[in-house]
Amino acid sequence: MSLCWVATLSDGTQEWEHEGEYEVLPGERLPWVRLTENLRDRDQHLVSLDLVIDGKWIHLPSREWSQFSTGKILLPIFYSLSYIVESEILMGIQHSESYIDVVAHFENFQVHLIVNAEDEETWIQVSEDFNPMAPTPSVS
Amino acid sequence: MAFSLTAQLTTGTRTIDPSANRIWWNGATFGTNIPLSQYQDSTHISDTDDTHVCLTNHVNNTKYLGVSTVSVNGSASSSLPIDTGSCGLKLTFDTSDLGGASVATSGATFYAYDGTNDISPMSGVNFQAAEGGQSTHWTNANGSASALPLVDQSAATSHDFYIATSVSPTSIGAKTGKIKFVLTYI
Repeated sequence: MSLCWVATLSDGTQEWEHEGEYEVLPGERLPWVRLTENLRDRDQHLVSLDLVIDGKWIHLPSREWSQFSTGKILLPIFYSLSYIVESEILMGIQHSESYIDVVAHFENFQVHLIVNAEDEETWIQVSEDFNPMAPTPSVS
Repeated sequence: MAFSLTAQLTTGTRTIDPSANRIWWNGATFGTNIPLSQYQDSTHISDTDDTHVCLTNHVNNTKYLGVSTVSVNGSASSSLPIDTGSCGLKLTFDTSDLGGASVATSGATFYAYDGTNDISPMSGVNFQAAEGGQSTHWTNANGSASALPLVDQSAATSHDFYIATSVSPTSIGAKTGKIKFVLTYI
């Protein structure tokens, strides 16, 4: 399965994971962390964040125009991303699952898109008080 | 990402093959039962045929004595935290499968469960766990809601987690379940 994130920046540019300066580099932080650092250095933020899984796009809540009229649209103020890994051990078995957790952060809650990296099973979860490891800068 | 598991022995270490080895918590010797409501006196490794592997150089045994005390390899009671070198298990998470990137870890947990639903405890046991060098008391880490939390680690290409375990049966009979290690990284 191929999976990557695609970020649209406040200056209108689009950055793809695994392309350009966002390749995985030995000894360096992951591309997402480097993106958050670059955003801070350049005083930018994200306006949208998408996952592309085997060529199929999944759009997280965005600050851009929505093509769907579904009532009052709430705009996220920043995004975060992390990976979760689970491993069963010790009992004569070895089984691991890994997930990506992509989060749109709103004023008082967060919307998570969690995807199993092996079988693409997907969950949408809403939380409050989630403290991300690597957030993008907030909209000022 | 890649996980590896090392058993820390009374002398040296031994790499565990999770698909081919099992950890045993026993009475005085390999294969002997732990008396009801007591904690193990020895910890061992077997293969999947239940053949004893660690023979005379066993896994460090960390016996629960009280909520913040332990006997390491039969020694007198001492207070937690347990030295990392005295723990029975070392879990290593490295980024060899991630192109060798440097990642920070957060929210790592360790727990036993019934093998079906993470929140359901393994039936008939107390499963005490403590993080070496960190935990000042044991956690009965049976079921995900009671998981042992592990300390966050800053960015690196490899992360070690030292874990002490101690098991006590609360009912007679064989026990079944699984043990899980979970972490978040970026």
